[in-house]
Amino acid sequence: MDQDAFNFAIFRELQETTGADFVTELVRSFLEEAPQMRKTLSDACTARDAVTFKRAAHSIKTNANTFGALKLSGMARDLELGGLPQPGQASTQALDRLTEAFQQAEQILQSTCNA
Amino acid sequence: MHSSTANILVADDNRVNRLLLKRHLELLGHEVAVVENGIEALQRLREHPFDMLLLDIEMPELDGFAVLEHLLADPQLRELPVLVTSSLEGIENLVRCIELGAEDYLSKPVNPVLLKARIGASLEKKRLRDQQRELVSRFATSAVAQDLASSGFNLGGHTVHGTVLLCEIRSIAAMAESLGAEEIIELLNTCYALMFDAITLQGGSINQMTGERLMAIFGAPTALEQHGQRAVEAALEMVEMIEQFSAEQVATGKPALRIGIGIATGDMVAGYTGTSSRATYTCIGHTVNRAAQLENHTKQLDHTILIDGQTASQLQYGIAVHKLGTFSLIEGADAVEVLAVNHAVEKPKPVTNRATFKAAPQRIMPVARDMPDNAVFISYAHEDLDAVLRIKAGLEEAGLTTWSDVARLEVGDDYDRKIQKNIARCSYFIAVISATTQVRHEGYFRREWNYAIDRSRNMSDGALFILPVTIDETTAVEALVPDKFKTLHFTQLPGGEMTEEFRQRLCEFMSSGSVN
Repeated sequence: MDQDAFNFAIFRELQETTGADFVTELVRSFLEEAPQMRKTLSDACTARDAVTFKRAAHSIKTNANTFGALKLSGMARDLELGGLPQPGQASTQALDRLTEAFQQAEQILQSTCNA
Repeated sequence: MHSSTANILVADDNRVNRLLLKRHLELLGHEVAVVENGIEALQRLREHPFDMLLLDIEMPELDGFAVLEHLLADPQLRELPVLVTSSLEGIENLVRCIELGAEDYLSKPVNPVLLKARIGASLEKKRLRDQQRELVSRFATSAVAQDLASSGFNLGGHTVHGTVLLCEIRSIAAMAESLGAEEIIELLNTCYALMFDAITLQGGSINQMTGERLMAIFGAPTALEQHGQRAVEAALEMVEMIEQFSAEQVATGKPALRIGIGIATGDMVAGYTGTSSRATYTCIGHTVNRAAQLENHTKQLDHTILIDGQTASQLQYGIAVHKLGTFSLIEGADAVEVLAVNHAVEKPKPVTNRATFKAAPQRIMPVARDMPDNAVFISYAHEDLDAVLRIKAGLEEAGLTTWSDVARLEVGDDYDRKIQKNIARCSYFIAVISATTQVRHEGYFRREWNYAIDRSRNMSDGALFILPVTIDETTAVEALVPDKFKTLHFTQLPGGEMTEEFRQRLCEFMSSGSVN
């Protein structure tokens, strides 16, 4: 596991301030929303819809930050501030990297909640 | 609002953010409602009073910046504290939020300790603002308070056309020597409370109180139609109330009370006088002087209410007057036509003469302070008073007892508790919905509506308690009312005119006792 990808101290602090059961529910909500968030980002990229793209990246960044998924948060931030990637290979690569970080964060969150 | 508990709306398009903010706020002891975008946020704020808004910026439909712009432009909502919670980057975004009126800005993920501190500070500022507004209302009359709120404070005046009413409680000065200090103040307060009722009911604004004298203006600071007629109606009501009160006093061995009233109509200069640190809203000019001179002459001419010719020319219905002549009220002044109002006979009867005076506001008897048992509670915006009085008269004609807060003299927690108590024990609750309630997104009537909903939660499904009534073209579909109201049948009573069907329906409910 990439140790820099996830900050467990942030996650534990979230559990301490809001309750472990609540955080489990919150993670479940995030995991339910995650596929749609990825799809929105991807669709906006295809449609060259910069506003929706920025908003979707912003949303992923915020949620990732909340749970301590810093790698995902950093990538989403780059997309939010950088705007739509160039069409073609650059675009595909950027989304692939984000999807990979997304899946990694999802796995960590799932295992953390199940622990 | 309790000092540590607030009603907070959270607007955020992201589900995780909404859940998390809601959780943080609930752990701090607040009541929380959530919406997903700016349009929903504005709608909820206009339907229900909130103490604070937590606002995200990046939202679909209407973003946070646009919400702030809408709030700034809305007199009812511009003072709502808004705490922006966003992870938008760039100092320019933060600056824009503050410029658009946001109270503060918190970056996401929100730190719960900072959140608590910022909310506490914002609510404290709101509490002080509310307290200040309440104080202004208490000492400056609601009309002046509204004028200050909408136009701000500026020394200076303008010419207005209106009617001035000057009243003196004649016997108070003599009583001051025989009664104790507390007793005399209590007596004065009772007299003032009774007279305030009469004046505010007719749209007048109490302008000055100096010991046993009171001055009211009809037509300033806000313009008023039929100001002369309304001032005389108020005077008649004042005399009637004081006579009733005096009779009670005499019955307990205390001295009788008498008042004298002078009323004059014309142009006057109205505005704020004083200094920037201490000022008062007042009216000056010949019209005010004439009203004072007429009041002075009530004693020597032995009439309770004297009016000038200009006021008399405004009287349109139901008030008997007789001319006393045209003469100078003070030496060297122009001659004035003086008329006496006959208050003992031929007063308009609110119910029996209703058809004749359909367009005019109806007078009612003094409102009982305590609500009688089995009364129908009528909740309304004060601008709809005329229609409400017709509804009351219509129901009371059928023998039903109604209760509504007509004068709204009282303020504060005690008053609120009294209203809650009355709603908790009334037989039915009529919510008057109108074009006025549509545009008044914040008002005490909305709190009354929520109290009624609270009570209905203890009732079985289908139990009838809340009766929404529209008095104009406002429809049930567009009505800005709580969701619970939308599930109920709306009755249309245009202008407050009672229908036999509604009266019959209510009588049947009362006799079947479907609530109590």
